[in-house]
Amino acid sequence: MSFYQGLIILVVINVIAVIGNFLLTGMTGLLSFGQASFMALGAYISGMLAVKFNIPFLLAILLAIIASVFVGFIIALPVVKLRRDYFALTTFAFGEFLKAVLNLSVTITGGATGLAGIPFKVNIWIVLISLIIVILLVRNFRNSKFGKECLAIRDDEVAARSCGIDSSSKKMTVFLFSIAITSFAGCLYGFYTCYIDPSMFGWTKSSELVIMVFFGGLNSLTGVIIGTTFLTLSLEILRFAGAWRMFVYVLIMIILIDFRPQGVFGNWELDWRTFEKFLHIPSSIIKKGK
Amino acid sequence: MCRESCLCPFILRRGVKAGLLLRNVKKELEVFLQQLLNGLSCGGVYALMAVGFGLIYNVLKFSNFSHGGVMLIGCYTAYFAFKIFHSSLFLTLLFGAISGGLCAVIFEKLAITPLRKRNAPKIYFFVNSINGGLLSEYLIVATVGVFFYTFPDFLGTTNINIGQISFSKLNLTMLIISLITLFGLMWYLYKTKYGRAIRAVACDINTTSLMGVDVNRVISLTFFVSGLLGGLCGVFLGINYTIYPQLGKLIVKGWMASVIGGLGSLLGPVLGGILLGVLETFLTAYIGSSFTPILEFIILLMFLLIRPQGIAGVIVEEKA
Amino acid sequence: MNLLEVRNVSKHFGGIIAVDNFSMKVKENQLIGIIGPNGAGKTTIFNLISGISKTTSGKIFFKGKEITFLKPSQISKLGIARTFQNLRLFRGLDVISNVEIAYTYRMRYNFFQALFWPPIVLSENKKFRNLAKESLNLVKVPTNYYYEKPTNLPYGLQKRVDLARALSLLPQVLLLDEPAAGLNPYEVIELIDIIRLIQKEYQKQNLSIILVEHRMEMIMELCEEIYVLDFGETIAKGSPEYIQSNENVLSAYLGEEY
Repeated sequence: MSFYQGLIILVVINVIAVIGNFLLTGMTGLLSFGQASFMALGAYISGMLAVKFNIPFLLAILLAIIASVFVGFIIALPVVKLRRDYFALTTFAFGEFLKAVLNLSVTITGGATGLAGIPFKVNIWIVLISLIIVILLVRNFRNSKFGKECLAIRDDEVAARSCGIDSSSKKMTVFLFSIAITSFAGCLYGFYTCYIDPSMFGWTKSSELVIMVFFGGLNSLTGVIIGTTFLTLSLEILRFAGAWRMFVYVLIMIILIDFRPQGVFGNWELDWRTFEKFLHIPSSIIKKGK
Repeated sequence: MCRESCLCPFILRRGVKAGLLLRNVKKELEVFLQQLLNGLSCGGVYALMAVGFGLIYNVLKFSNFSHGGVMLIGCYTAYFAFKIFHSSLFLTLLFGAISGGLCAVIFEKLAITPLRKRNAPKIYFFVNSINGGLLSEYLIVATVGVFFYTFPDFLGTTNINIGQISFSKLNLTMLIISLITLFGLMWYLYKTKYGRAIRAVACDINTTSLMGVDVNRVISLTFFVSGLLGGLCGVFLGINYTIYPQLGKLIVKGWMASVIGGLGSLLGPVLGGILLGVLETFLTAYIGSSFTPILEFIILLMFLLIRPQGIAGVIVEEKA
Repeated sequence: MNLLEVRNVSKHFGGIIAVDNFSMKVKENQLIGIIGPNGAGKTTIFNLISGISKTTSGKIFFKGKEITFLKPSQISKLGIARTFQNLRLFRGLDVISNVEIAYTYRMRYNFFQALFWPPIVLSENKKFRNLAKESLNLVKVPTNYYYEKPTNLPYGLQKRVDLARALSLLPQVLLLDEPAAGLNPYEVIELIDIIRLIQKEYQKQNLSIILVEHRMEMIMELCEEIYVLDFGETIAKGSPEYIQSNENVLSAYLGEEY
């Protein structure tokens, strides 16, 4: 496999993970600082199932996703009806908690020395197809009643609740869906690098995933995809620049949020509306299909 | 007479057992008190952290994650001040506090003021504060490197002994300094006009500005005070543990303390900090330091389920 | 059996008594008014009925079942809808989606179907979009505004969108919170007609309307029974004629000449 193929695989896995975060923050306004720990859950569970019990690739991923969703349900249950800050900080605390658990359980997970020997199953086609599937699922979700309800909750939660929308359960649904996506990205990562350890999924990674969402734009799926691709590539390419590259990266982020908080792409989306402007299709034909 | 002679050794044996039991209890009690005092000292540090964090929360209504970065910078600058000037404990603490305060104000100018001018939703403040915390970490890594440093034993390794309890002079000093700082903060907030301005802005930022208060300056002042607390706390943490670039992450303990104690007042974070410190010390003593984060998280979740507003907090109802 | 019964409900905010021992019985097909000076507790009563605030004491019954401790989302699904004094429309959605939102809990597909089977999403969307258009038609919002964001509409029309949204919950009790606030006299007359039209259209569903208002012409014109509040207390209750001549009401609220 060439260097470029490897790079693309890593970028696409990152994009999938960020889409999970985008779904959560874009739809509900909740921030999750533990998304990397759900990647870790996905990677470790699917990796352990494959290494220790020889469970086939797809089944291991499915089981890992189900387990991650279950864990996410338990930690979100107390906080989903509380203020948004509590949610962010609980997910952050969860990240630390999971790291402690992973480091401790040396016999099961290999502890700080990591889990090795995961079979190599992921190639560029698998990741690209996964990406397309995830994009389609997220798009369907946003166009359905769930998408509209979440936008309503974001705009005015009191009014939404008076219209029959149970805001806590909707937030939970979106959170669980976003965990499923992010842990799937983690599984792909494990089956690609064949070695995982707790330090790969720490707080820095979680923050990275959050920042990339804000770079692309909270309301724009295409923006987030393009933005994350750009950022991940730049960070990889600029690896030689040493520690200062991260400092400059974060500084640019701060200035971006200061002066363009809606993200680089704002509300722009690559969908029918852009094609309509591009090809001059009259809007009435598009709206009829709505 | 036969009965008496049978009873005597019986009573003697019971008496000896009771005596041994009492001595065990006394020992257990001493260990308990020892851990309690250690816990209070740790709790004082956490209380400082939580109060600094809670101050910004009350005034600007968002969780200031960069407080961790402020602690980090305060700690490192204090360390290098010590290395260069060989300052005493108190001067080092002062240096750490002031650099923390300055760092907080720089962060405010860089990442908060532009957002306030745009009336941005709170979520952006939060994200920029995360960025601020990260920025501090990367700054340290880029300038100083990833190495760990340690503070020396400032007051020597002498302990104060009360009976069999040994209490390190350093712990006691930290506890006293924390208490003095907290009292000083209360005096500042409730007895000076600057404190009153801060409290007014915390109540209603728009009305306060209409009353002729320069809200921007008050907010910078709040950040400075919060930074002082954070820098001081950072030096304490550096003394207690080691000095390393990820020190900022310990802010999560400050947040946990705020949740347990209740945001919305100053008593809440202090109470929560002390409780968390005591709890953590006991857990570490009895089940080991590797299991402690796990149990802490579970306790936190249960707290959020049962009493999310914290011990001293109040639930604010929505109105339509 | 009463459609809606509020029994000895009180609401305290710390030391302030917002609502003091309020009781109300609503039967089917009634139009009831609640009036009183500002701060009398009228919107608080609506908040209590719709579940947004919790009662300090007292009970609320809807069709015989107690709803005092239910969540707002549950109460609105049972059949109590409300409008808001300050509109609270969803700014990120266009006008027709704002109204559709009230129908979403009726859409018959679950999470997995939404993800994997778009055709059902499209058909349900279409069905309820048509229903939303009917609601907007009933309250006389012109069709050219359907795809605009609500903030682009004139204020009077925004109020009607709020009304259409509440109607789309297919309620049996409709709580209108100062629907005429900010309207000019001509718009108020239009609104009175629209409320009459709503009563007629929904008569089969036994719709009852509770109206909080300051505009006396609306209250006296529309309501069969009026409750008067002052500082949380109910100071009078009865027909419009009785209220107009009641001494307590006159001195507290209406003024000497009416």
